[in-house]
Amino acid sequence: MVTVHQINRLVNGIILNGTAPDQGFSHCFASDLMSNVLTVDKEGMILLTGLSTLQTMRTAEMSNVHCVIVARGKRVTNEMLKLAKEHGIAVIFCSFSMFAASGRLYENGIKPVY
Amino acid sequence: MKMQFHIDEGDFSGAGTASSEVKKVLKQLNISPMIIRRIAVALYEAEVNVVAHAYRGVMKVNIESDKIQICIEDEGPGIEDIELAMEEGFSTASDKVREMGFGAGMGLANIRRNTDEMKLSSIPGKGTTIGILSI
Amino acid sequence: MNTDKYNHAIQVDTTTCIGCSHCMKVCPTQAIRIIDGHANIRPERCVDCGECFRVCPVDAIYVQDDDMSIMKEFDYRVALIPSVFIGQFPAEFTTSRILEAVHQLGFYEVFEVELAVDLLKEEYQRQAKTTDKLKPRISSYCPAIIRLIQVVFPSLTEHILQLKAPHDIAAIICKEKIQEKQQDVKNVGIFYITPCASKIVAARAPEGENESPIDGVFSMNALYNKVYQILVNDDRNQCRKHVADMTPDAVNWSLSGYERKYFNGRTLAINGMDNVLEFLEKLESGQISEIDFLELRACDQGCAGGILCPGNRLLTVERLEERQKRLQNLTDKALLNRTPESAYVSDLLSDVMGKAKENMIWVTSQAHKNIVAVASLKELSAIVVVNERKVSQDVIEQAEKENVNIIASGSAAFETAGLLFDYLNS
Repeated sequence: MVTVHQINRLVNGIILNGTAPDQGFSHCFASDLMSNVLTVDKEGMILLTGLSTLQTMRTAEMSNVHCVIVARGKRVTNEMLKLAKEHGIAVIFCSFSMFAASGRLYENGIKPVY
Repeated sequence: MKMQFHIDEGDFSGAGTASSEVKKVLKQLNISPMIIRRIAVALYEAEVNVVAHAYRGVMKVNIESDKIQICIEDEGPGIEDIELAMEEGFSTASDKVREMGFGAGMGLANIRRNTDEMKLSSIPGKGTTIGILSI
Repeated sequence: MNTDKYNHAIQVDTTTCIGCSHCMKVCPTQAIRIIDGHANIRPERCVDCGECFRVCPVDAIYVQDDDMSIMKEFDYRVALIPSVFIGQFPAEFTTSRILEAVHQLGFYEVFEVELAVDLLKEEYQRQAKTTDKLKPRISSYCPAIIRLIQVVFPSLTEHILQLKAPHDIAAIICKEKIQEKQQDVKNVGIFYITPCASKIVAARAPEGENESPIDGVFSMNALYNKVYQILVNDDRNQCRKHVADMTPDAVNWSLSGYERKYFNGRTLAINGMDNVLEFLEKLESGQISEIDFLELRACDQGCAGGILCPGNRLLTVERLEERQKRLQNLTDKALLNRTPESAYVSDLLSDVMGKAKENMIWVTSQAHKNIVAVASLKELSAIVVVNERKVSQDVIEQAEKENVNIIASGSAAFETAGLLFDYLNS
């Protein structure tokens, strides 16, 4: 189980919103397609995505995901952060590619979701 | 308890607002979190479908003590082949929609998976109606 | 081996035989005697090599294969074709056309036997390591050779590699593939097209097994004429493109000199019955000590010289070598030999177009046709489609046309990326 801070360190990121419920994270789903994200349901799941839109936050909200890593150095808008704060979703901005971020998380014990 | 929302076409930034409202209400009504999640996912997918494919739509929600009924009606091109549309991976989404992160062809299947009953009907050239029931 | 169940494929037609004894003189196991003025083959010594068949001046010796009418008893008919069959035809007829013609004879599927060779190769590495006491190891590929050793050089039998014949392995794989793809199909019939008599016996009664996965064996001679007719009369020039399911060097395994490359150490390839006999005699007398592996073929030029092959053996060898070169070219072009240094994980096509670099492996759950165009434009080394996404036939065909590699994975993108990251950085 890792905390938001630990995740942030692993991916050399910046925490844009830290208000997430006090929970640990153990799994990760990496995808740019929000429909795919909606098919999985796992407690303590991190969403790693290169899609930086309002829909990313909506999807996180609908799927009860409380930690989103926006990779590829994509800009996160204020609107997105507002939604994130409203629903308690931690948002980490990261300049790594999806590949590198996945690699870092995987080699540190974060598990895939099936 | 009844609610009604309008869904506008092409408004991707707005997609999800209706579903979010419903979710909020369900939470306030102390419905079990698992049911809330299922409904939220189903509604969101349906809402995105309207925004992605149709001109406009209406979401009508009816919450009763033993069940939740939702009907989403849209005005749009409709669905030519419903069976094909239900297949996972089949998508008629435009490139723009795909770039938004949707259009993987999972939407309808996701809705069916997350509801107890789903009715889908469509008139090509006029619109599509989807009714879902959760107990 | 239980000789009761053991039916020889080589038979003598006593009504035609004139008792000239040419066959008796060439038989490597002295299995033939002349009795009552006719050739008589002793079943316990016959190895079905067919040397007698080659020399009979009146064609009194024949090969007993199955009649093609047995195909009717099976609903789903599959043909197993050895690569030497492709080599029987002039080069103007492509592999795809030849196999399409075989389809037209009533087979729903056509597989090449050599697809099993890739599985054998790994085993060679393993067996090479455990060799010392049993030097030299002897190839188990040619059934006539196995029988020859059992009958004439029994002390050498333990040197033979314990490996199933490729046609057996191929038959088993085919049956499994078919059962996976079409679960409601019953009554599958697998038919092997043979270049020789000894393989007929081996297919019907595999060494060490109680039953055979092969339901019928047809002589290559019989099939050749039928297929040739179809090819010559078919001017449409359209057919399904056949994708060779194997690495290029598996194509020539049945010839002489290719199999031995897979065994580490000092190896020899010997073909032709006279040469084999001479060498095995030396080996038995302890005169050979430095060889690790012996590749033996009873026929001159290996299976290209099989007694049921209608074409000239040397032309066949040349055609197969050309085929191997073509396949090698294709795999080179298909960039299978490119070494990716990194991977790109994304489902957004515009993103990949903008950021991905040449030679990268692309991990995505998108499985629609546009991914091929993107991969081709950006010269990516491969696309890995994750989450068990079904890749439809038209996407596969497009990928083939543009020489794009597509790999399907049952894992999630995160795990695939994690594993690749690990692998590429180590």
